[in-house]
Amino acid sequence: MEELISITYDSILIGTDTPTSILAAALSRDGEKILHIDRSSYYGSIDGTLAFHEFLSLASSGDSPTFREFCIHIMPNEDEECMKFPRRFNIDLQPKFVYSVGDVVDWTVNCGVSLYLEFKPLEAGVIWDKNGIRRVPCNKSEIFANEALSVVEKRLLMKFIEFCSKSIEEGNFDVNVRFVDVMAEKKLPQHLQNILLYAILLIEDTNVSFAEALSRMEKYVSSLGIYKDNCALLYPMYGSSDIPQGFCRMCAVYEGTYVITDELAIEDVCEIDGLQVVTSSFGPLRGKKVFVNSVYASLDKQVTIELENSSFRAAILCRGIIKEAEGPVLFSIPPMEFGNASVVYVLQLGESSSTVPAGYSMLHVWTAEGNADIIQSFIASVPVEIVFLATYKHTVVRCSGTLNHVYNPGGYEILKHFVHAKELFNKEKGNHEFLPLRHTEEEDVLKDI
Amino acid sequence: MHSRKKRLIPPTVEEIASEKLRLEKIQKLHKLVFTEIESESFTDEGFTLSEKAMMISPDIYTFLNFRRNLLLSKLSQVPKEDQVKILSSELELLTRIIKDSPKSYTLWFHRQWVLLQCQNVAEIMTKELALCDYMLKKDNRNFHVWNYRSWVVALEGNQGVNDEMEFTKTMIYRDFSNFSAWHYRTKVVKQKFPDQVPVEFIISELSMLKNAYFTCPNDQSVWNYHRWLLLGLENIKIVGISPRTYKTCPNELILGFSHSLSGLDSQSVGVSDGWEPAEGTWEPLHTKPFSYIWKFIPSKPFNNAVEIRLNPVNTQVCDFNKNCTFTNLIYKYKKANDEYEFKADGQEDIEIFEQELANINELLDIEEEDINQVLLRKAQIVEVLAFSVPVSGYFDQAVDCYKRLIQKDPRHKVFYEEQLDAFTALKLYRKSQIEPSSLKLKAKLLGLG
Repeated sequence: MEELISITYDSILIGTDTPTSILAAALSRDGEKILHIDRSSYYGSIDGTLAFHEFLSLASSGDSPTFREFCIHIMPNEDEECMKFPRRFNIDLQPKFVYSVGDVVDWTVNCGVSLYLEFKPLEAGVIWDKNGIRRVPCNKSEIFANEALSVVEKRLLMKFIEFCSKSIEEGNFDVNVRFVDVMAEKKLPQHLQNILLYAILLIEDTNVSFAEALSRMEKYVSSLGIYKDNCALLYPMYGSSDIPQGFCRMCAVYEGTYVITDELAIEDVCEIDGLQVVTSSFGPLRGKKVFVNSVYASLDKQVTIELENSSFRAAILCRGIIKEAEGPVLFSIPPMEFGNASVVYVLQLGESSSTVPAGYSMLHVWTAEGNADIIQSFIASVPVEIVFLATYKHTVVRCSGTLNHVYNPGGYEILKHFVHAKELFNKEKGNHEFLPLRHTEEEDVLKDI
Repeated sequence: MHSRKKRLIPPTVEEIASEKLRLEKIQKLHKLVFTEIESESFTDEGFTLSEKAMMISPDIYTFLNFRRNLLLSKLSQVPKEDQVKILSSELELLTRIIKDSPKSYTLWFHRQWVLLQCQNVAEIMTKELALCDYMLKKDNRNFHVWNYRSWVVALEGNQGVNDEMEFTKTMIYRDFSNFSAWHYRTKVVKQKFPDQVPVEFIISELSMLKNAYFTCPNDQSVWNYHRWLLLGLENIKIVGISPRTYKTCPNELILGFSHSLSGLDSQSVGVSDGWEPAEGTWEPLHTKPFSYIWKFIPSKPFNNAVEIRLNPVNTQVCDFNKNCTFTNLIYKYKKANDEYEFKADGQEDIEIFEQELANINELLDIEEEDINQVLLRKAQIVEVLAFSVPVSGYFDQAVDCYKRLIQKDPRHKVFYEEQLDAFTALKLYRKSQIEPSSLKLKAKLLGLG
């Protein structure tokens, strides 16, 4: 305790969500003395993976700008395993995945955080509609081998994909046109459009531009088959909060100090004698700069909070599993199949992800707008028993004011989280290296020569 | 392995220096090994040095020869059980090195040599095939691995031909843009069906190929295999004759065949003069074993209408591939006005070719533009049909395809023109429609100058 209040930190970061943790690690690697705090029993903040009882507690704690309208539709009995051993059952507030090839992997591996993380290949490309659940072809080999598509449909789909590749290469397309309009112009049948939008590119907003869709496609194609045939994505074992937690660990390795506990009350931030002073239940914490995430935005007395896009989410604990698989599975429910206005994504995590015990699976559902009826409707189509069903709304907030606010863009991709953390880092540090290389490969037989 | 980008940024001063150091070390290693070789003794130290040499410079076969001598010396000094250990640890070492240098001729040769020293090849075979699987997963076009695989399979007397069929099928389904897999499949098919490939097999292969060429019509490897598959169904036919018409009976006949043949005699080709069989001698135009053009000189001059039957059951005649049979078309000189004109009678079984032509036309109809590879294959199939169905519109279709190709793909203009020339020069066709540009080639082919 005395140590805490006696040091003047270079930066104090409040909130352990993904961009804030990445920033903490980057600043710490750059030589800053970091204090990273969060009033919580878990790492990850709004990107956290909560144990069952922690989730119930969050659900009853009322609305915040980021999470609101928690509603528990099905509550388990007291003698259910999740009630007796809640730590065995974990729920991601906002599930995250990573493309096998790309900046996120490069940054994570370069700086050494990958040593603290384990991933499982994520099986995507599973369409769930009124006709059932089926894997759709997501690459050339699968299209070739698929028995449900006619040869003409195969040709149409491949032609469109070739057209997209050509557009990427030549770069000569209208940046403002929507992807769906391009598909319609090429007369691609709706069910093939659904495959592209929801099984391959995992689009959430159907107004996505052609340019954005192409960049997704590039990422997808280069990520295919790297760690597993026909898989492009990775999901972190033990839950999405392992990612921010990994960066916190890196920060700690470089002598960052961590205080993550429910008993830490953070009351106020104000400037005294040129230093930022955070008044806390452990005493005054002094730092040259303070960064806050959206949970602590109100510490800034002159904060303005803008609400950006929101999503409707659900956490469903099932006895049994919908689709047996080696690892996590992502289902895509195209619009209008069960009365849903926009696409619904359902992430199934079984025992293999180490977030639930054997015999159970956790479903994470998200969609732009929705309600509990839609959820009941598609769940009724599968033979699993629901033990727990909770819904909530998530909103991306953008805060600004006198303090440094760390923007969390939400969503399942963490590239943007990196980008925002890097922006803040560059603002403070100019062109210092962001998360420098930690590990160099050495060899060799020649050593003894 | 493929698409390795060339380094665009010139090396830095530090990189040049460290590379120089590395090369000096390697040269030192080489000197040490050469000294050992010159000492003409087989020591343990020499053994260790040769291992390092194999890892650093696998392509210098002098070092590998040295190592082989060392191994022979070692093997001769130990009992049988230890021999097995030495050889299997050599194989393990080789496996590690080959994974880093998968395209080294010398390493694969060394592996073959080691395998030949082993007495228990049957046991090791599964491991060797597993290594081939692994290497082909990393690079499915590495011909060293394909060759090694076929060599290993042959060592055990080609018992696993069905497994090899399955294996090539797996490789093709993984990525059908793979000349090596298709080529290997042709070898395996020939092993399984040494005489004639049964029609049922061809039909099932064609249905798989249809999915492939609809998915990716410009993939040459698919059309290659398609052509190979159908070649066996192309019967030996007469494609040209001189004289094509006559008023007075000819003294001799010069025939052009669709395949180059050897061993033509009166038993294999029945020539008759009116109702009577005509005795005579057959001379090939070329003195080599196989010739496309043959001359028939009757013992007595012809009197009447000449008829030529290619005897379907023959023991002497064979084509270069030894797998084709004669057509059942009958060729006759028929009287028209006051001349005799050469015509073919009858029709071959062309169902498979017509079906494939229909498939190709279906594909061309979906495309906005002609695809060169598809069009070329269409031309080849229509050529076969033109010779198989004597009076038909197929000749015009073939000419049209070649003309479209010449226009669409000017880079390969000369190739298409030569194909077209050869085709028109050899065709049974009315005098007025032979293209003048082909006269020179025609003359050459008929041995007339």
